[in-house]
Amino acid sequence: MVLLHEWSVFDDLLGESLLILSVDGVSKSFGSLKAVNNVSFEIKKGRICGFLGPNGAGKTTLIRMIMDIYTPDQGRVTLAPDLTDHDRKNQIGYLPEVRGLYTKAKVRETLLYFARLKGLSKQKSVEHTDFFLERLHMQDVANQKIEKLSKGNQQKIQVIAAMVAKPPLLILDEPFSGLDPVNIKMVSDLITELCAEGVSIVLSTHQMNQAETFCHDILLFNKGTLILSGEMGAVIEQFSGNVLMLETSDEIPPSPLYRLIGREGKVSRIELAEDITVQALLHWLVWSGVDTHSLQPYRVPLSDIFIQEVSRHETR
Amino acid sequence: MKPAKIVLVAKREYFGQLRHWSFWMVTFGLPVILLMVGIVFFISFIYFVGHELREMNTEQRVPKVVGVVDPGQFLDLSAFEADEQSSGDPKRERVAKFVLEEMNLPAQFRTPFEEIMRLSNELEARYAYQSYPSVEAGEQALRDLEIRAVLFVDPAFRENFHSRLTYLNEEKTFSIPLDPIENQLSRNLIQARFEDAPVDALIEPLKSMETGFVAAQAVAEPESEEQGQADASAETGGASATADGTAEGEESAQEATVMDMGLGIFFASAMLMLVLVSTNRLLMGLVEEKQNRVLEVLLSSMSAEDLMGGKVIGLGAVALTQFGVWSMLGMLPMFMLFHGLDMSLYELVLFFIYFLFGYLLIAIIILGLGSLVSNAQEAGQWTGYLILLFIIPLYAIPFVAREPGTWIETFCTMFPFCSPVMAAFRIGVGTLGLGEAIISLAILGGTMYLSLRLMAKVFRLGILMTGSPPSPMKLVKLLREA
Repeated sequence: MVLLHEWSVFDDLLGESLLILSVDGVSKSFGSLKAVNNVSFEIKKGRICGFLGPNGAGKTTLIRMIMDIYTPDQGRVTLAPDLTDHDRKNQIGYLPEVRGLYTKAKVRETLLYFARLKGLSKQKSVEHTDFFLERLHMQDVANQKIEKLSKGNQQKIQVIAAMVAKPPLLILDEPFSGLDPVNIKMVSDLITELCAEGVSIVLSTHQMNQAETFCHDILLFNKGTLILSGEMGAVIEQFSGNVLMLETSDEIPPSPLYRLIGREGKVSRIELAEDITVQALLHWLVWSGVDTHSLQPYRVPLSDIFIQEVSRHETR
Repeated sequence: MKPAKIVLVAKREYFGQLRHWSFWMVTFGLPVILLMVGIVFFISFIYFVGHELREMNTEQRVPKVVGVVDPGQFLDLSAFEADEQSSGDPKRERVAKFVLEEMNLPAQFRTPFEEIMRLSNELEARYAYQSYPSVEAGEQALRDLEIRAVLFVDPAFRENFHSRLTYLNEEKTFSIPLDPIENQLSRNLIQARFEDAPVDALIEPLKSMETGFVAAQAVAEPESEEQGQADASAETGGASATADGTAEGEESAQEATVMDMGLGIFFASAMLMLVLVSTNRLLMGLVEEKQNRVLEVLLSSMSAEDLMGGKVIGLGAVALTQFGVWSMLGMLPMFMLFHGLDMSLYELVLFFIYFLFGYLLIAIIILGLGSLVSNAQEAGQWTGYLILLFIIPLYAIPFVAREPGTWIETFCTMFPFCSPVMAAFRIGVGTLGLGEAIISLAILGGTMYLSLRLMAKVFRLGILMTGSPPSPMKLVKLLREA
């Protein structure tokens, strides 16, 4: 595939460095409002990082500072040193939350224009535009005016506009907004594919299930502050603790080995007591004659973590 | 600054406008409509002039002679010198003269104007006075259209002061010059009363007054001296002749500059329309992009300054294209209709520079202010006052045309928001000197530079702003913080 070969060029650009973006102690105020407050994080090559947080958490301001649309009051935003040799804005593709397209213009000419603005040559612009139009099954509408397209198709054009220059860092704000399940699958496959090719992606979303599915890392913001960060699995594990899901035919008897949190149908949610292992629990279940169908670790949904952490930060 | 991106934006703005039907509508439609209105007006003018001439011709067949019946022999007709007559409508004469001298019209269109000039010359001919032995003989000559009126002076005029003037028709009377007759009768009456007295001295007792001067004791102020000299020269007989000469000269100069004045008004109007149309286009485009949220996508690819620069250049090029087309469309009939166009390359270049500076100034400010608003209505409110400043010179042009060199002219030429339109007018008329143009352009350029510095900040700040625009005070505060 053309795409796969072309993205491999980033290996040369990035060299051995795994970091593509470094945000160091960044703050930004608008009058008396502190939109972003001393935020630091790093984004690695080929990772999808979820930007999470309630409305007004400062995500958009932070994204705009990364895009060099706003200048930080304090701190620094730096791209991988090898990339900064080029125009910084050419290295980042941006999909804003609200669609921003010339509605009266035609699809193809709009995409060509955005590709040229990202510093591509005329020929490359044509190649990349045609590639993405084909990839998202949009060739048929290439010469139509954008205003004639459905909301879903407009969103796909917006997604292509962000990716058309094939930048090493993509910032996607609600990329699945307005898409039906078929198109969600199409776009998510493309995102996964890009990621596999080494493109780093910042995924800003309020859809926790999507974040949980796609993101390798998460950054949770509230009121301009970074309140939680880390690798997705580790964060969920950290919040899940020793909770297990136990499926039995009958209700389970009380035991000092665990604490019953709740039961829904045949599934009981239990928290193991300190120093009690899963093997010890299994032995006890057999010995007690409990008809056990399955036992698996409980994963706290990301949405629960989101609510819990934001509430905790609010009441602090 | 990324020149390649500026060029891309400029090209998009330029070709985007050229592809839009409204551009061609304004560019070609407006001159065609104006041309058609002009043609209709011209044809109507010729028609009405022709109609009036047909009526006038009937009257003009009667010779300019007044019959005089003077049995008492109070009048000496041989001594009469009739006054020169006014042709009645000097404006029409001027138009006719302008059309005949300056325009290349086909013969059938020239005829009415030639007729106006012929009649005008005829009207300027002096009246003659012819004696008739009786009122009956005079009235017969009147009926035969040999004379225009009969004046009867009663033989007992010295006692009863009776006289009568008989016209040809009641409804169509000529303006008969009676001043010379009245003057002679007056002298006659005075002579009869004061037999040996000098009549001239009785009528104008101060006519032979002597004049004298005494030297002032104090040293006169320079201004008073100049005033005195001016007064003194005004008193001399020679000065009166000079004054007449100047007046005549001014009149001919005025006639000579009808063409220039038209060119000046064309230039000023074109400047105003171009600036207004192109900046309105700029503002609407910006508001649309803000509403479409395209700006955020654009700013992810380029800086606000580059975006601003690209827009200004692209739409400036659109305006110049429009001016080019208007000039072609405007000049074509000019060259076809008129004998020539008195315009130099210097004037064209100067106009171009003024347009460029004026457009850039207003475009920069409009982009800055336009970035703060989120819809066309708000945009209109913010930029209305700025547009008003550009319109002021149009109101000043009639004063400047009537009385060049006043402070109004200087102010409008130097004040940066008025100078493009006023300078355009003066370039057309040919009264803008190079020195004055350089100073005016320097002020305009300086204002443009300061505006660019300030508005780039406003643009960067306001371009992603949503909701109601900030108040001026709030804006100042935000700018300080930016």
